[in-house]
Amino acid sequence: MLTGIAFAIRLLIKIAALAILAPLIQGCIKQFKGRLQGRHGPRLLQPFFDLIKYARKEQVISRETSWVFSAAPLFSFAAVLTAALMVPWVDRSPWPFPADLILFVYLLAIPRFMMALAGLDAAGSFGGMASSRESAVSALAEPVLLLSLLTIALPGGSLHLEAIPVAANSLPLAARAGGLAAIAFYCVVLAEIGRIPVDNPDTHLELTMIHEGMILEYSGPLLGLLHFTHWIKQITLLVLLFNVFIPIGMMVESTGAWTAIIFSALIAVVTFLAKMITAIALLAITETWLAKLRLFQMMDLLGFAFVLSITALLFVATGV
Amino acid sequence: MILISIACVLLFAGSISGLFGRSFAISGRRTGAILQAIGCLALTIAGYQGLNGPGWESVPIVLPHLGAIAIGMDRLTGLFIMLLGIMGFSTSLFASSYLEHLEQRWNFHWLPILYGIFICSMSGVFLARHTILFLFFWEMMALSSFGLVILESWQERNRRTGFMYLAITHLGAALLFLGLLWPCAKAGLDFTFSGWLVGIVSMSVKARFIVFSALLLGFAAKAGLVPLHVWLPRAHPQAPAHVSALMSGIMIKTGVYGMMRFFVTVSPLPMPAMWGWLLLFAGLASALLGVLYALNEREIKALFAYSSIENIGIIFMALGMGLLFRSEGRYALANLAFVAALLHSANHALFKGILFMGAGAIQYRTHTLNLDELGGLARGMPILSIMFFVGAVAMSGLPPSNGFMGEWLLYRSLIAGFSVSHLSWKLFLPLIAALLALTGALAAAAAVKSFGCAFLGRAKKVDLHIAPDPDNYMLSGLGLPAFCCLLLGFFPELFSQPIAKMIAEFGYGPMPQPHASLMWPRIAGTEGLQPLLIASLLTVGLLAAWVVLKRLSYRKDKYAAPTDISSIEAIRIVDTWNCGTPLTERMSYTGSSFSEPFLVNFALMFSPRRNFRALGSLAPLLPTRLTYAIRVSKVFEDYMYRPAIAGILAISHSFQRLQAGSLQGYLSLMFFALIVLLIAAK
Repeated sequence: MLTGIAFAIRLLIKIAALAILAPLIQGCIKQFKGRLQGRHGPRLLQPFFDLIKYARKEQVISRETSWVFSAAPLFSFAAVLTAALMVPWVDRSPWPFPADLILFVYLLAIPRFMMALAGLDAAGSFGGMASSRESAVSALAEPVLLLSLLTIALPGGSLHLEAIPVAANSLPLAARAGGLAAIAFYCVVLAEIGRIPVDNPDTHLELTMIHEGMILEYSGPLLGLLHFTHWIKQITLLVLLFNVFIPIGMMVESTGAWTAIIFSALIAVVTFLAKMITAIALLAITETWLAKLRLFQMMDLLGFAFVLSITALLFVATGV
Repeated sequence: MILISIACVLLFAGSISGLFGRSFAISGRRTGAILQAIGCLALTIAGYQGLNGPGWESVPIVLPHLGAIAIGMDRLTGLFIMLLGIMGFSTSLFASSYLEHLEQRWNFHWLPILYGIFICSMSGVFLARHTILFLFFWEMMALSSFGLVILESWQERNRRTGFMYLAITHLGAALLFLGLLWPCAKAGLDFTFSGWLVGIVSMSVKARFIVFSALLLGFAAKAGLVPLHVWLPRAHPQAPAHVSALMSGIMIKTGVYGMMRFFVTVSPLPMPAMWGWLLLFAGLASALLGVLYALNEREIKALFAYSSIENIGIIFMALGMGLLFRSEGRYALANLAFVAALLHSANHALFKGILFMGAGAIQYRTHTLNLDELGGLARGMPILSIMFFVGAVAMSGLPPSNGFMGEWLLYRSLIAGFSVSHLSWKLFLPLIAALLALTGALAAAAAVKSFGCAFLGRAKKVDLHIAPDPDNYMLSGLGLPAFCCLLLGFFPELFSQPIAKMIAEFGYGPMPQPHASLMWPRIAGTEGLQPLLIASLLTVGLLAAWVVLKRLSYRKDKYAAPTDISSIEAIRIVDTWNCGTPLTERMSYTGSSFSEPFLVNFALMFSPRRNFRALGSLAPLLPTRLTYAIRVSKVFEDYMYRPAIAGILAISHSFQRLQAGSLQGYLSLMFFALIVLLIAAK
């Protein structure tokens, strides 16, 4: 019973943190990117204002659509939220419900599936083009996502997301396999959250867009929900990147004196924020530094990532 | 036993009454189909009892030279009989309305009879405990399904397909005769399964290798494993939709059943690891090739047929993992892999049933299955679209559908292989897991293509006004497997527990222990998965988002149906954005355009040859018409079957020289042959 209540409280805290941090990180990335590119950039809190604005707008819906159009954002949101709740943030004590990385990878496939359908629903060329491209890119991204996480998880013997940082006591990033897998994973993160060089989140230039093309027909609250879902996915993947490959500072099982618990919790929160700031800088620099790849060169990027993770697997398997 | 007899009687009664299609006031078609459905219900109950209860064995006939012709029921048989019953029930209900548009065809009257024989012979294959009886039912199943494939035999294409199917299925059957009868002959002509077992144990290693190779090839040909898959994507689309559902759902699973029966259950021999690797890689090749070709298909039923090859590949991968683990002595992990294989067989039967019947319903309404011509059906057929959606989600293996649960178990057993300290295991198994993820993502894309291009967007060449939801018989035929898909997604232990018990009865080591009532079978090193918790979490997220959105957008009419959006104030209905120009149906993405990026990405395998031509008097510069054709190479057909067939034809042509037409020549040839044979026999 007590664990149940504790679980519920942790769940609520995490949802609240997601609701605050997911848009905030988006704002920070945009702001920092703007600075790097010699612009002022939008306000840090702009994503929150956007969400409020979307919520108040009327919905403009195409007459071509069916039930899939309204269902897709809801299903995507639910799946991404479930996946987000599995990822350890500051502590590595186990969740009461098993959350292995296979389930995580497949939960992230739900929004792609639903949004690809939604893109086809409105009968426009842009939506169809985007769905087709998204399906093609994600088909290449999924094996890398799984394999790069597996190379870190396999030696520890557990596939649980919160067990990966526990098992990897050292710094996986510093090891050869971990370093390669981290680069591979970062490439997939870029593809998954639709950032340069895979997709340009800022453009509505029809022929280049992937993610924006699928949500082109959405407006009002549903569009807000889609953006929010996307930001949750973004923060989740970034947290996973850092907590799997650099699992430092995370809180261990809370036993001992309460002062010690509070102290370690403080350290964990501070390192978490530091990791997020690094992630923001990393993304902003990547987006400024690189140009968008041509669509069919995506195969090269993701193939490169796949080869990297295979190499990492080779190191792990041979134990070198 | 009684239930099985009742089922057979009802199935035949249904066939007979189906024969009198339009002769009576009450439709013979419907009465027949409903009798057959009740017969399948009896099969379901018999299968359920077999799956959960103690088995039975009975000997209806004792023949002079063949011994006791036994049939029997155990958990393995029960699982497949139950699946056959469920799917047969749905397809019979579906057929009761679906056959309406086939009644005009001239050899339609064969259909109910062949259909009844088909179901009976499949249950016979599962029940037989005597090799001759098994082969008899096997042949009956092959012939009745051949009859069902060539129903439209006035078409050249249909006949060619039928004969190709017949050829490959008989090649497989011939190998099965070898693999099943040789050990029996060794055991002193004891043709029961136990006699086969005695024979195989007494055989030398080399002979045993030949027997198992023959069995593997025979069962793989029926299952449609690469490279023996060529008949499958041709034959399945040719049969009527409800028959395709049974062929894809159950008939190709008889191959899986045979593998389980003869490689796993009755064979206590230590199999070398080679068999495991062979099955694993053949399965992987099937999975990848199947899904890639599925993506490229334009016809819905052909797409699903290729997807069946993919799923058979996944099942064979699991079987291969099981044999691999057994060769290492890791019996608990082997059992996990076998659970994965059987669970995925059940799941695939269910969701492929929905999809094929859904395709049939589309064809029934629109008279086309071409994804480039369909579109927008979801607005006319909301209920059908939801059921089809469930099937598509399960086909993509997304949680919380049942498709995910089977694949999850396979992932777990692949990854558990990392704990075995061979470098090849540590390296290949995670890599295969990653390729399985690629397969999963491609399957999702194929599902998006089939659902999206048929049900969403705008119709290209189909009049949507003639495409409302089909009637209740057809819908309930789809609804039952759709319900089962969701049920098994939330409560996979309904099937996985009895399967785990079944595998425990094989007598190999510890069994995946059920961990708690709501969880998965759990063994050391693999943590459980709680589908119900995940599903509930998903649902809570869904409901929360829905409530918030309702609050925000449906201000006036609180509970208006989402489809009826015009009644709500805060929603404005407009045209799709198309840069300010009117949208035409030609702008909507077609199936072919959807899979174009995959063609480019996997060009190495597809080697697509495009033929793009501009027509008109001012042709290259100002064309009035453009034509575009694309041909994709099929690896095994182009590089294996075509040269093989060409070679055989060349050899037989070279023998034509002997055919000079003189009687004396033939007689002397026969005489020489006789002499050669006599010398050889000496």
